[in-house]
Amino acid sequence: MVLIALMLACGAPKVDATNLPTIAVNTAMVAQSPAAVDAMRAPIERVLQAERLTATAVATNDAWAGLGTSGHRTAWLLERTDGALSLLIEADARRRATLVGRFQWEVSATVIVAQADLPTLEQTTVMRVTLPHSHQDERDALASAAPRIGHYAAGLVRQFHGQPE
Amino acid sequence: MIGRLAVTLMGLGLLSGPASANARVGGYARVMARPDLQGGTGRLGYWNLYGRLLNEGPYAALDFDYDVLEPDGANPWTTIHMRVEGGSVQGADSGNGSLDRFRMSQLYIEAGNVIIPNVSWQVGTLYRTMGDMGLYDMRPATIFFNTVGLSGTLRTGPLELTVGGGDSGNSLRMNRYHPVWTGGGAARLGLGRHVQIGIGGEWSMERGTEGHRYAAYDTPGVDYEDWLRGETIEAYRSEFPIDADRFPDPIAADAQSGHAFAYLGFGGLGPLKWNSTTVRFDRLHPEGPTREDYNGESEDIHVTSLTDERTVLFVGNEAHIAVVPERVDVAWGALYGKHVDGDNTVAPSDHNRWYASTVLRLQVATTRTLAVLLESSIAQEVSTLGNRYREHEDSIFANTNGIPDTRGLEYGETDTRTTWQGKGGIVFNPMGPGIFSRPSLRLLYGAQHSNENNAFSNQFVTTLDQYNEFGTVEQHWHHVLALEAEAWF
Repeated sequence: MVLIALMLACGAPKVDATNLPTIAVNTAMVAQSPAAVDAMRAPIERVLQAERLTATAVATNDAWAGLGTSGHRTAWLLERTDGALSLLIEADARRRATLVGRFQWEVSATVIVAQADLPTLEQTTVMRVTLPHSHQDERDALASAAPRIGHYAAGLVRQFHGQPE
Repeated sequence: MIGRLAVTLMGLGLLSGPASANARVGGYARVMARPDLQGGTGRLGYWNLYGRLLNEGPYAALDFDYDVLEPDGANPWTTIHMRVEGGSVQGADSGNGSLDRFRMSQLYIEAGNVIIPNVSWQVGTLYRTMGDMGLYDMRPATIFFNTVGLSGTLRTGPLELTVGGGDSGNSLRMNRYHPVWTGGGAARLGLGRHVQIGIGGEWSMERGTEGHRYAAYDTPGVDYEDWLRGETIEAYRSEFPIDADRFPDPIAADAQSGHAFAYLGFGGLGPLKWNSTTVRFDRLHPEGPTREDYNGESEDIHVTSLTDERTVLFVGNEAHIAVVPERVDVAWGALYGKHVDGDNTVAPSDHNRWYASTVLRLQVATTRTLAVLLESSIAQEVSTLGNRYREHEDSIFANTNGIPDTRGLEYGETDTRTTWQGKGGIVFNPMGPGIFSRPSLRLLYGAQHSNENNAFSNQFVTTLDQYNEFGTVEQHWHHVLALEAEAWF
């Protein structure tokens, strides 16, 4: 019965995002390495777009790399965007275990939504991804988790913006 | 005890918060309902040679680790890791979830950046693998499956190097523990993003210990065929009938075993996501003694030198191909195995055979969460020491060269089993498309054809005795419907 219920749940129609209003948001991402950021950026942006968020990646520079805390990065982001709605995603992946022939990673993503003169919304989600090969690294783990991170971030942006998730 | 532990681990799982928290719980679950209307026990065929799908039973693993000292750059860190796993679920198999089918398969403490940077030391269970042939659920590129001890792993750039050693006595000898020293290692090197090579192996040595009842011994003068028939004492007494002639005392022996493997992986090339090839050669550990009773006399027959020439050659390949990304995936696997027992020249067994198999799986995503799965496999298993399989309900049993012989060591009328399986159904992937996407909820139908009669685990009566009240059944096709779920979490 439980299996049938789960199957029916999977087969249920997806919530239609096309009715939601578009929100423009500036984005920046942080991970263990620039290559890891590159690995997760495209799939996250695809999900944001599918959920009607118009994401504009903010170009970073050497000063960005030297910022050590989420607060500093958020402040930098708001400064660069003149206080417009901004989304900062900080993610890292850590190998956890070899599990029944696969390789499990734990991905932690902290999502910060900020806008000038408004309190910042910051939440962290932890998820596990299971990769099939031993040589795969944090880039693969973040790329695998990216759609879920994107969906989570989109929900927070809408929540911050005062619209249904 | 294990139950309490499992409950504790689940509690920790519910409490585990962000990655910065110290405790984490993951796991694996596979559960199914497979009513078998043909008298089987719910598995399509005998084993994974025909592909793991529909040939495996339920399984669950709960995997826990706790950072005593979290990894932090180049500073020392240490983590405790443990796992409970087993193959039974209430209602899904005859074990009904009994905890005696579960075991603590892993417990180790890992410490990194201690003494040597980038090296992690592991004390406890040492099992390590380079991956899985997922279609078969086989892991040939593995070391230290049986070993508890110490290992050190260096991770630097594209290189991962593990060296270790310890004791495999409890795993190999179980309740007849005697130390089996094991040493070995593995190295994996990445050549860019597209190629990985690896080698590994281990060697185990069980030294004879004079006076230790569970050490490796040989009983002198044992004939292989007499031992196989359980007639060693009888054969001895036919020559030395007087009780005063004492049955020969065992002589201490050394037992050795080990394996070596080589691994090549490549991928990220067009639609080829990854291809893994593994070659492995095993020399199996000799058996312990068997108990014989004859005419009121009981003896342990020690057979180290009668079971020390068993080898296995294994070659396996698996490829994953994204024919149309996020829409059509293909996984193809093939393997070959050859088992040779240099001591046994008289009777068919698992140690004198070869087999070959290929499996092809196609998964087509019709929506983001719904897919159609099709899989087919063909396999052949050949006994290299005579007949082993019965093709019909009235086939002969014990025979010699196909002629019925109650003293014959062969079984059935053929040395070859050929098996075809086809499987298909609907797969629900809540996490999105992909052949590796899990959780996976499947509604499957599978069919098997084998030249062997009733080639699936069953409880059929096979005797041709006239007083057989249940009768016999002949069927070469086997059909299974399955509703199942699988997840890593």
